[in-house]
Amino acid sequence: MERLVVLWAPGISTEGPRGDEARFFAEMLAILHERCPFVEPIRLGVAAFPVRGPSRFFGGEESVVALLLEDLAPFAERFRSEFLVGIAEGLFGALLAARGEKIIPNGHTVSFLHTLPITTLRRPELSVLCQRLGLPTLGHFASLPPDRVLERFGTDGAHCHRVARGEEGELVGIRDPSIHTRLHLLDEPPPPVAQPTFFGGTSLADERATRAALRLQHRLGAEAVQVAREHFGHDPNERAVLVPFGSQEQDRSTLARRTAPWPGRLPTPSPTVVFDSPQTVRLRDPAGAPVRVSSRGLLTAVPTRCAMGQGSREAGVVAWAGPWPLATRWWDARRFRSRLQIVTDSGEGLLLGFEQSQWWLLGSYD
Amino acid sequence: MGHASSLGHWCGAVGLKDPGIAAMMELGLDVRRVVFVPHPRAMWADAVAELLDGVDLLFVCPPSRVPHGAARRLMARAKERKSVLLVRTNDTRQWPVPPEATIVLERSSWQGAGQGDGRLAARRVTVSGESRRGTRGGTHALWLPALSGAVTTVEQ
Repeated sequence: MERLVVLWAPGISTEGPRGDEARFFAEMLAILHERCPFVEPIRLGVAAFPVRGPSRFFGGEESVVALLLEDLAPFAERFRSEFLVGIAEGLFGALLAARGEKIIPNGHTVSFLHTLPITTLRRPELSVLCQRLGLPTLGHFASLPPDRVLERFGTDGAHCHRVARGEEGELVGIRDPSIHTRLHLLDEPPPPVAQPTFFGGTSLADERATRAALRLQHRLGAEAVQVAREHFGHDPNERAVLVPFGSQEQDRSTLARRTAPWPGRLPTPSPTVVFDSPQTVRLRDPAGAPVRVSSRGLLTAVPTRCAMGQGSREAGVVAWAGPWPLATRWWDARRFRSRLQIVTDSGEGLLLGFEQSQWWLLGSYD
Repeated sequence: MGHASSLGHWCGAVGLKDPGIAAMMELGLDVRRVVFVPHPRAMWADAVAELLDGVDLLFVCPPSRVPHGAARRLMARAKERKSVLLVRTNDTRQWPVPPEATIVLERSSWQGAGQGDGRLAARRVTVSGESRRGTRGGTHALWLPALSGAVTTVEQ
């Protein structure tokens, strides 16, 4: 199991009234990135990376910890947080090591875990039951026979049991899947100094449109009437978002057209339809076998048919362009994403995405 | 719409579910002056009527079939307001009142993508037009968009 460093900044682990925690966390990740390019956000205020490389480079795990604390120390006051660092095997172990500011020696993670209370699993029902049965620690829990655990506590209980026994390194629920999106949302340019103030009326036409939009919002709800706001990202659906008409976000919009290419963005023209909730697509080669994207970023076979969604609308593929890997952000370094354009035998141009080992229909060019 | 919005006219889009805003911008639309009502639900006709008061050009996708009376009222409203109402249908029966003019997209083909190489670069479409009074507008070949990203006629 991989040895990981976990850095935990408790002061920015929960969002407070000032709402600047995510921004501080992004700064913290940037600082850590200087030392290790594989640092990954786990949840707000918690980051992790494999320690093997940095440990070899900086002369041991103690040196890595000392270096990180030194790097982060100047920010403690501004972030209103201390920084806790720990090293152990597996994400669960490393997180608990960080909580106790410990470096667990190689091979000792399981015995370290066994001393901890059952409540560290954050499964209240399981904890209560174990305590009642006289099993207050992870070690006690780990000593139960696996089939009994599965029978009594179900699949999640069995998963917790494997984590407690050190057979699995990562406890389900540790990661906050929304953290990537939250960090991504920070990636906006600052509001421009001067901008056209169309909201509030600069001309008769603006006033007339604003009045009609507000009347409609009154009848349909604020969310139903929207305007576009530019956003910076790789995908068409990341490059502009619709926000409620008249919202704060709209006023901050920077809709001046940009001509500079955005790194990793798809070629223009952009799709005219961008699906809010993409469907899955099955892409097949002449023999009917699935076509995927290889680890080298190439198609594994020639795509000749595609089938979309559950209803399986099927079409032939007559031309394709790509796949293009996305120049993902550094904390996505291990996530593989790419994009492919296809032309179907009915003349449609479609944009597909390969993500989570699946093809998705992201947009249409017609 | 691109031309109108760049002149300072407001536009609206009702029932257009998943708009490609980046594409609109590339076609020259000033999206700061576009009001979107993607999901008007049961209030489709009300949303169209209300926006006809506020914008100069309105692009609408009817949910299914628009009742005869509602279609007539909306057309009268557009005329009164001197707004342009563009209705996109997949089937002429969706809009039961004869419009002032009809544009039909006959054919469309993407160019530029090969067998893994190139990209979707330009689309050649054939459109035909007809006015209510029966004047035929003929058939035209357009680049929608051309390599430059703009809409141009195909040089014969």
